[in-house]
Amino acid sequence: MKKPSLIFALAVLAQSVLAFHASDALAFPEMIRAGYVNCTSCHISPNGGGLLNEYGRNSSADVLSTWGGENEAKPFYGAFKQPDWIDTGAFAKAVQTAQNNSAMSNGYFWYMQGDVEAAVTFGSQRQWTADFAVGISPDVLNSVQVPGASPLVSRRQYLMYRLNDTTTIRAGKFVADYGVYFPDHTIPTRQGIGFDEGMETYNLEYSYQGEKFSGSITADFGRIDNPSLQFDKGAMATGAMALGDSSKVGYSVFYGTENSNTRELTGPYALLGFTRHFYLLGEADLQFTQPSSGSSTRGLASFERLGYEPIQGLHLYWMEQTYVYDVAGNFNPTTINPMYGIMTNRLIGTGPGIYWYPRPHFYIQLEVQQQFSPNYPSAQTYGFIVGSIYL
Amino acid sequence: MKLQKGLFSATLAFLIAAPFAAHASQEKIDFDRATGSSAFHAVGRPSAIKINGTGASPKGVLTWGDDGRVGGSVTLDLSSLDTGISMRTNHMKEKYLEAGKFPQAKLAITELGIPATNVSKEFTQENASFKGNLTLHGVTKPVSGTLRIEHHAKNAVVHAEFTVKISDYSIAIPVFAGITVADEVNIAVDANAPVSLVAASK
Repeated sequence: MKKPSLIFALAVLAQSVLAFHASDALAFPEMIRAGYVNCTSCHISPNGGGLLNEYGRNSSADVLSTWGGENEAKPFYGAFKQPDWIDTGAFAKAVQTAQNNSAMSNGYFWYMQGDVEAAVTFGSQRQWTADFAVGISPDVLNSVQVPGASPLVSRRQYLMYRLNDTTTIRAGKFVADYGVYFPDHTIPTRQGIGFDEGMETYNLEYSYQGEKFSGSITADFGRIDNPSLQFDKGAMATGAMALGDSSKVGYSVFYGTENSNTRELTGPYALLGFTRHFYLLGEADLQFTQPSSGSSTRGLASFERLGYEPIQGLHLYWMEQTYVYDVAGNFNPTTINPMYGIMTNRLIGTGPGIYWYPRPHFYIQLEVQQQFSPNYPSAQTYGFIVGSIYL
Repeated sequence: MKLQKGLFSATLAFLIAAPFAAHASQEKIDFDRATGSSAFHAVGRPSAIKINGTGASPKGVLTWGDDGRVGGSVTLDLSSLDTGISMRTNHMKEKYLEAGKFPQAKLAITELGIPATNVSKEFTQENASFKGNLTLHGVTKPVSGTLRIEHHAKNAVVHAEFTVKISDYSIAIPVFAGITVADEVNIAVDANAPVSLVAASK
């Protein structure tokens, strides 16, 4: 058996500790196949993910899950009646991974998330929304807490003003609106380009969510509360056009700087509902970086998921992901992609998976990939099973 | 005298036969024996949810004569409507359309923008206009729309579209969990219906 290289050992370490540090997004872009062309159909946040609104809770029971009653969709299974000016949610999630190649075979169990989130709407026209999420750090949940680090995490905290039915202005901490907010947060087009859960930044966002067009312009101020984290500061814009009632295509651009390093991202995405049960979700981005010292890089990140729902709540899919940090082969894991850069410099992964939502607000995801990377000693089989509950 | 009797008989025969001869080209479009479907499209705000519903093929008979007159009506069984989401469908039928009390929608056609000379002929016409009266939720209001027709010797393939304002029919604007349905709803009907010539009188 080949001895694992240093890079490979780093990769395993990174995958075990970092890849599941954060939660996933609880975002379901495949809902577009049912006519939900904008994330605000179900989510408080204009770009989706996180807390559900009342309609989103009902949709979880009626559209998303195989079985379920009306009460199961309600906050805390209807244990108490909530005023209509407040939305609440609690998230709990865990994952078991398995990894097998010519050098090693192992797996990890990781508590991903234990958060609560609330949003209150106020003002004469209910035009204001304040959202706040707080949770126990996954490091605490998994007993790997670094001494001195906060035992709590807050992934979202923002104030939003609704100008009209389609337009909002939002300021605060949240995952900025770039590309598709896929729930699989470790994929190249999320973690690979800096839009992972746990990589939320402070932003000022103008968002338009119309019938035909949607998009946003965002000023990204990085982590102004903790500059030592060295997140980019910059600006981004995304725009999308609906194609019929169950598809949309869009394009995103980003420009950011950090300590004289610059980074540009650009790429298209598509959410295509071919039928009510058959869909394709995809995004591809080019990444250009210019470090303050060293060579510039040109990279690629892509992710596609082709899904079919044979019975309500059960999704069978095939996914593909490609990540190339630099086509010229440069490897710079230190600054701009601190997480994914360490894991691997190049990666192609493909394989089948299942999402099953047996009851409202509860799902299981099982995925098995064949992964190819020069950083691994051989092609490897990588799989995971995620369980998620939302109350 | 014989000549006078003959003239009288001929005149009588002509007078009796004339109404039938004048309206020999009236056509019946039989939706009772049609295959097809109905559909509606609405938008929920503020998030622009697209609500696409389906329903059964309308039933009834329309008549169309070469004198330009149209008549008859078609009805739609509202219990057949489905929005694809059971709770939403139930709310629509029970709370808003009150389908138990008003089980059918009825469309009576009053004008058809197709040349009367086309009766019984083979033709295809795009964007033909039509007018009629729609009875829904116990309220009758005039409606107008467009249709596409492929008219063959024994059948007609029809696609008709029109828009209604649900507030015109004393139906409350549907609101559910913060989503409000827009007042205007687009309705489309597709049918492949048998056609036949019938005898008609004034």
